[in-house]
Amino acid sequence: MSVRGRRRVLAAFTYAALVAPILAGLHIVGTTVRRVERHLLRTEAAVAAELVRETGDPQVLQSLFPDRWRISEEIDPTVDQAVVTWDHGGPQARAAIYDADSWSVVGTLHMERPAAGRPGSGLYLPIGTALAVLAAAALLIPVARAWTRAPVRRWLFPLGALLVITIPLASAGWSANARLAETTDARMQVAVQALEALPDRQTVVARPGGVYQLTGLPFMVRDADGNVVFSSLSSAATEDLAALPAPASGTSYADRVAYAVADVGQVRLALLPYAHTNAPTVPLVVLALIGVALAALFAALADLADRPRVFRRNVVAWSFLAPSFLHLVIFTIGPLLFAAWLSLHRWSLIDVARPFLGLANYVSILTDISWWNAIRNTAVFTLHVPASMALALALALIVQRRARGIVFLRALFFLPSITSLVAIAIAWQWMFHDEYGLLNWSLSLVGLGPVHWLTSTETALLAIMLMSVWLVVGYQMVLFQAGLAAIPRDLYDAARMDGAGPWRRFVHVTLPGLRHTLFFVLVTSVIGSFQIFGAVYVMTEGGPLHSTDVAVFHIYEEAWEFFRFGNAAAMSWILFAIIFVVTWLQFRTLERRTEEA
Amino acid sequence: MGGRVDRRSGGAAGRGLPHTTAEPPKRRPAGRTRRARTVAAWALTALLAATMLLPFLWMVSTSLMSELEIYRFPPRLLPAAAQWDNYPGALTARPFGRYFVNSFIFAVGVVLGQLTTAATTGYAFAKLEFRGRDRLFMLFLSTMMVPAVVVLIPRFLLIDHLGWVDSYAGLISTELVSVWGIFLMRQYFRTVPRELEDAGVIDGAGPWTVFWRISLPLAKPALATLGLFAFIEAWKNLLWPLIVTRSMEMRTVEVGIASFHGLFITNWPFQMAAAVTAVVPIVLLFLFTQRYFVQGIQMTGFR
Amino acid sequence: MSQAGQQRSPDTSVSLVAVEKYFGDVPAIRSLSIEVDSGEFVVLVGPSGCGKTTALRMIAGLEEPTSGEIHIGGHRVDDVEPADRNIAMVFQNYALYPHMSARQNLGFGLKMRKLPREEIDARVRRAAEVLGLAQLLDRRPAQLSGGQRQRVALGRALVREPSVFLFDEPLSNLDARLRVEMRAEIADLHRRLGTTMIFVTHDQVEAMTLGQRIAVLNEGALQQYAAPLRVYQEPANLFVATFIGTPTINTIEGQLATDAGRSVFRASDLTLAFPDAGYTGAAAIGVRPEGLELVNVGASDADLRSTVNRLEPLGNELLVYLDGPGERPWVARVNADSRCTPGELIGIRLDRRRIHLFGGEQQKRLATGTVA
Repeated sequence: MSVRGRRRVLAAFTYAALVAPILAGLHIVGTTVRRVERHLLRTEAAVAAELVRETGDPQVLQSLFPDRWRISEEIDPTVDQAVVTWDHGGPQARAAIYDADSWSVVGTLHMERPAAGRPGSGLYLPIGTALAVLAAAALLIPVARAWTRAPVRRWLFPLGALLVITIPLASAGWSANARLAETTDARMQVAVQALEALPDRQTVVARPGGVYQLTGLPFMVRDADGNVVFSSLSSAATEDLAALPAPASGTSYADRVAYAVADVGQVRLALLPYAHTNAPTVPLVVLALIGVALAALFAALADLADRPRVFRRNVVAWSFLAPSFLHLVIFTIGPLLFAAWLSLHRWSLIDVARPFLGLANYVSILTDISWWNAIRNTAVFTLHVPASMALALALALIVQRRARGIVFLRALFFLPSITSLVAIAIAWQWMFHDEYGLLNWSLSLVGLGPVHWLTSTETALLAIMLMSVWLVVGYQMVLFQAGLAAIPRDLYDAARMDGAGPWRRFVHVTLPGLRHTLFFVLVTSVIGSFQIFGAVYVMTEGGPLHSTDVAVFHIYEEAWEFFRFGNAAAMSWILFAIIFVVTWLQFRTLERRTEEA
Repeated sequence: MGGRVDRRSGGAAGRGLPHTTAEPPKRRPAGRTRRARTVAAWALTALLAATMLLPFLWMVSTSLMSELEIYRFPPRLLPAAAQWDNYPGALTARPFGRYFVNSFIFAVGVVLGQLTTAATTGYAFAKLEFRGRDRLFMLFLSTMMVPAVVVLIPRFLLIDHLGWVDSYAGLISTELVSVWGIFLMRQYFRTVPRELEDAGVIDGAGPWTVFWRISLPLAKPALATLGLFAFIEAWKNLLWPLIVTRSMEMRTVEVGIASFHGLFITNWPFQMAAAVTAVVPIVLLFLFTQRYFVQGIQMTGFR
Repeated sequence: MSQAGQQRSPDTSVSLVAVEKYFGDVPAIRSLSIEVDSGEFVVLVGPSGCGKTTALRMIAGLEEPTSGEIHIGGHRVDDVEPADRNIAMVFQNYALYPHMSARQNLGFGLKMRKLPREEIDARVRRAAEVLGLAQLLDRRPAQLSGGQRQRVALGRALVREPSVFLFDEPLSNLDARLRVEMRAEIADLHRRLGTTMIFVTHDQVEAMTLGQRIAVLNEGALQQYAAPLRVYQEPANLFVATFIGTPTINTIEGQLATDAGRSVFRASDLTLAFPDAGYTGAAAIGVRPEGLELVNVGASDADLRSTVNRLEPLGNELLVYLDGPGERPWVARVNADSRCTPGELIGIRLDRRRIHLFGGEQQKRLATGTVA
């Protein structure tokens, strides 16, 4: 392929990479909006049908849905609940009308969309489009310059691509959010009006099922004194909303979620606006990132189009890299960012409401004693690292390495660190047994104990640390021996000639010679010990009385016992930050010291 | 190959150890002191070996005791009569066969995936020239800093979204790339002389052919090392299978014995039988292949 | 040129036109232009780091020039992959595939080119016979001696029947005797095949003995490109003069002034007149060891005086190392039966016809031989 041909194809790819995510994003946003609006229409039809059934007077509908409804005598056997169909270029809803006993169908209610559509959804979309066009025009300049092979600033292109993709997507998202908020209001209004249109509210309220059929919304019922009689809301939200002054309507925050609230007689209606009304942020962000990455990649390749061999080399290299890179993006970098996003939201598998909380998760965690307890336990646990390293170093210096069975011995020292941790933890738990354990028996032989290893808050963490030392000491010893073997013997001889005793030789020859090994073992062990989970999970489950509750176990429980994913994500980011700082401090202090040495 | 490695480290062992070698000739220590020191060192080595071995032996011993025999003070070190029935008893109480199959499929899948991705990516970083290579490599390396727990929740949600929870795809897919493995392979490929690949290029081999026919065959020791580490890491993995599997049919051995532990909390012989069964395969694998572990550590400086 | 004409072989010339190579910001090759005729044997020589291997790798296509053009057989090959340039290369460390037998090593390139199996076998057998490898074909490289490996590497290039052979210091890993042997073999190969060969070495003896023309490189720039003898006798500049020739050329620094239509060189008590070089300022003269004559210290026609430091009798001749006369020690190559002793003060007479005058930009050779 000629240079120009290649460049044209790549330019086409580049633009496709820019346009595709925009189109896909607009499609997603549009689908979401349409789905919610159809849902609203269906609800309206259902409510209207229910209202007709309750009142027996179709004319109540005229004030609620002026000129949008029609009742026909025809009985469509396929329509039971409300359905939405596509008719005459717009969605139409139908719902069966039952007689007062809810026994037989007496007619069909037809409901149309409001003629003028919903109120305008603001200026987001036009402004966004204009901005995107501007950004695209700006982007054409670097592309054109790449075309003429003038030097292009590398960062300019991805930045431009990001703008071109993000602006329309963001404006579409905002516009959708605004529109969905209006839809939510409209739905709320329908529900309130439906209840108010009832001549005898009290009887309906007496049957919560009736309210639900009439509104299709989660709600609570209060008695005359304001006490909650019935609620289909989460208990925390119920409490919060019940505490609000009686005539409340509009948006209220309860249990960190924004509810649309209206009091209708004794019934307090509450709507979870976020159930359906959030624009699909995560897919949009993912789309934008993929689009930018691809556009930047193609643009970079286009830049190389006139150097066929360099171009080919880059393509070849990416054919080697692509699987790992994609995996890294999808399963590590993406999740890392997603975790950050989660940590700013209340997010649970079982709750559809996932509101944005800002830093509230972080604030509540940082003021949570149990989290700090977990961090403290983790930090204390980490103290086993220097202990095991000191022991391993001493052993490395003493233990015979030229022994005949060295291969076997080394395997033995490695064994604990490579075998099933769960199995080992179980074995140790048995050895730690208060009454029948091997350890307490050994202590009793010398007149000590018994120690309540895993059952006392004083010693449980210590017991796990003890086991961890046993786990790693042999392995560290082998590492140190390898490090020792690399120290030239000449240095020892020279030190000896200078009259250095064993201690001085250790301080001035062994330690400096071993510093890289020591440093790496320290850093990796500390990082590892901050993430201890298995031993705690098997042996103590954080107990007794949270005395062995460590960070990862705490996060695990937060997410998979209490389903507070947002909180757990925030905790994991805090842990990440702590590990990062600790590692960085080790690098700074220890590396600097070795440089000086 | 391994023989060479062992001999090399064995030979080097003598050099770095000032306490047992390099005695100055002028001050000949009395033979007795020297012998005493050797004996002491030997004794310590033996003691250490015993300490390392003790929990394993205790595991085996307890697994052969009867349920009553263990609740005894002072404890019996050996069962009066070996209760071999504990093994079939424990292993049929839960579908351990299935657990082993799952662990094996999980570990083999992870090994194959990591070998493939680490070899290709490590090769690209070691040998191929492309734009932004060093920066991209730094990006890869920096993800090693990310604790597993941070990506745990999003990964689970992703797998859940894909409908892969409680499936092999869900178990394996997140573990297909090991940055450590990429680093190991890169280090190894860097030791392959550039001239060899140049010769291949001049001989008319394309980049993938050079990789497949020339470089990869030379990297077999590194592949073996990586494969072993990947296998054992996958076998030992507790947290991810714990989260991503739900049904008993999909549990791995680690998750299986952990939940077994909770269920049969007082039946120690049963638990120990299960634990021994979980440990044995990995110990056997390790005993036959341990030289590759030392190699892996020597090549990357850490694990 | 002449050989190509005689054999009517296709155009296998190689030419580099203003080729530059930068590694990042570091220049490895600066505007290098070399023409290699069809069938010619050219040696690229220079100290390590002079860019000669980079130049060869660019011809092979293993590196790409930052700018400039490379032509092989009259076609521009900058965008052609190495495999398609019809070249073969012999590497410094042989670069034999360790996991393949000698036979597989020889046949790999042919296999990659999808030649029929019989053809591959035949060619491998022929090359093995030519190089005396027939008995060793099933051995792996690790089971071969250094010389045998070298032969396999040579054979691998040979079976390909390329239009250009490239050698990247192929002899540097051999011991002295084998090196001489292989040198003869390569020269013989060239004579028989008549193929274009480009040979990189840092060893000037190899360069002088093998090359029809040699290209001397230093710091990425071509210093001189000429026949070996010409390079020795008429070095383009002080670097070439110093680099080519063992022992090294004797130099002394001084000042050049113009006087009555002549360039007069002065260094301490030495004054020499050269044809007008059109240059004044710092300069140096160089005289090869064989251009020195040792005379009695009191001799009236001695140009310079110095002390004998040590002697190296080589049997057929005697090398006399001197402490001066300038700051650098000098060497004289004299008759084996000349008599002098270390520590002795002696006079030096320079062979006027063989004095080179260097000066100006890059210490160019301004003149050879003095005038009255």
